[in-house]
Amino acid sequence: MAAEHAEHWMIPLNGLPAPFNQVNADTVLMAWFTMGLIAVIVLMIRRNLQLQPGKLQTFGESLFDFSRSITTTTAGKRGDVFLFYIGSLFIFIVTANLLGQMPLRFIQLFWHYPGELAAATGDFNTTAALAILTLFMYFAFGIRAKGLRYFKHYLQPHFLFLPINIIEDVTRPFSLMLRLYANILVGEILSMVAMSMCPYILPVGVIFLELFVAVIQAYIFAMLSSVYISLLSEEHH
Amino acid sequence: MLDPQAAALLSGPFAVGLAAIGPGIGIGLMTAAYFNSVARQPEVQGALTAYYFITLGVVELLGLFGFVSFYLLFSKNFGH
Repeated sequence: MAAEHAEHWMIPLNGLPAPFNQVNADTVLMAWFTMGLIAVIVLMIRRNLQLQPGKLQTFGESLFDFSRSITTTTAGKRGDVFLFYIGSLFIFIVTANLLGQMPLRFIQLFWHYPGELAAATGDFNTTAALAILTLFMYFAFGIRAKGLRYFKHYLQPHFLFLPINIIEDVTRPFSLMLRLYANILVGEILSMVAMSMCPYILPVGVIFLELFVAVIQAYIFAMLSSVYISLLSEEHH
Repeated sequence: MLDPQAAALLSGPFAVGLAAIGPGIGIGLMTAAYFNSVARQPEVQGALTAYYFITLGVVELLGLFGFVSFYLLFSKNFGH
């Protein structure tokens, strides 16, 4: 039942302090596989670039244009500075989410391992890493744009807002983390419930919904990261 | 009196249901406003859709909080 789901293959690491002494091997494997797949596709795209693009190059260019549209809607031309981050975030998350929709359970027919290969983003360790990366990024871009005046925004409307502004730095990555993780987890549980009710036709509808959610969540994650970075790196009136 | 085990088992579905009320109302209001404004001014659709999806994510999170708390509680205490 639901409790068996999203169980991880934990490998203990001896000699490290408490939260770091085990690693979810299946999540790490899926994340590496996602990164390898992206690297292979991107290298294939850039192998022969032409002025008149072929199919693969058109695909790459549309990915670039879409990532650029995320930064330009939030930050305009200034967004090109952090386009590298938003673009790679979007491409990684969308690839990881869509890989989770593949029927990876069939591997267990040949090789039985404890745990389950699913979307790398269906584990909150991955999404927490991505969210903390966004936190560092908006600090870095804010400090790069404004220098030490960046820290003045903590006192911005009034100095009484200081605790709220500090808490916001915690809740922003936390909400980013939880949103992506919970959406992917809900999707996996939903498709599992559909499969246990009627394994023939019903899961198709759920999986279509999941494909939609996978893209939308990657878009929301990239968009919110872009909003945070642009919000904190712009000059205030 | 309700058995504590039964009360704990009941609380999870209640958490999911109660957490779904707010986001349900919120997403309904938001989508209605989105459709209204696109019907009045179809040319703003491109700009609105991006913000619509961002806000969708923000509102939806509150519903997911309920589900995640239910899931973590149940898989820890009632799994296997």
